[in-house]
Amino acid sequence: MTRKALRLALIVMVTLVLIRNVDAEPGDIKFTRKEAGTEDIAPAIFPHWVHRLQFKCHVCHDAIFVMKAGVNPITMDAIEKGTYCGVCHNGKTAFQATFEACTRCHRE
Amino acid sequence: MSACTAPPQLVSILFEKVPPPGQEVPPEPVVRQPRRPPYQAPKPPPIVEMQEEAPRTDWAALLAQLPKETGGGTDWVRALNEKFIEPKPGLDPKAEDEPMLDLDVELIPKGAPDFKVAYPHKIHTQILACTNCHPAIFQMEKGADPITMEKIFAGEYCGRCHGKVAFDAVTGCPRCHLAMPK
Repeated sequence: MTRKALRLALIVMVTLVLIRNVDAEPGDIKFTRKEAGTEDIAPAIFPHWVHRLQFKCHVCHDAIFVMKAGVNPITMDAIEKGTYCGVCHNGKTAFQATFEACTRCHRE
Repeated sequence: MSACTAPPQLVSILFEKVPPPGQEVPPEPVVRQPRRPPYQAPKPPPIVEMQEEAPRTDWAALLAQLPKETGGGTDWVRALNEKFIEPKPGLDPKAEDEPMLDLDVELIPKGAPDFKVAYPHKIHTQILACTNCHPAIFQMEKGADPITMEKIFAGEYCGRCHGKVAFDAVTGCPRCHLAMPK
């Protein structure tokens, strides 16, 4: 009986892990928001894989982004001023961070 | 009624600009501004250039075509070496690649020579600059960094990338420890 339960638990765990990894790629960064009052907007997800298809690591690291989680104070203001994501996401190199494009980064 | 029949002298005293009889000044012509501005043909509307949204690249479809590791993840090294992807070396279209460094560094753990690692600079310098790792993560001096698997699993040294954006050290043993069975 316990064996059956263990086996079932194992199957459930493996399935959960597989389901979790269907949508996300390794290296995706889900940012945690430090600013209060904007909880109704989904936090941004950075997909490393889309970016590394097009650029080598050293294009962004470490000149634009320091390679350490949580040390880059990325804000929408900073992006609009052309720093962090805004270096490319300005409508020239990549899509601009406008109100039409919110959900391309801010998604569940 | 008596005012209407009053003599004209009295009227000129009571009201201004009524000259006494015989001295009437001809009235000044009244000039009125037009009630509305004169008609002007409207300007033709400016020609608006419709900007169509650039067609989006289906990156997910491209990712699906890349070679895979045995674990199911993308094999980025093969993808790069077999030209599935050609990532640009800079934001400037004229940016040129930095030269690769073809140098293998042998790392032999004390008392466990079978776990020898030949760290390939070549693969790493294809996509990374020297300053990405040196000297913040690895010192330039051989043997100066006490690299252990525990530290790598904890996200230090190789674990800064491996397990996050590069193959996981947990499942990729023979990719570094070349003597281990594949």
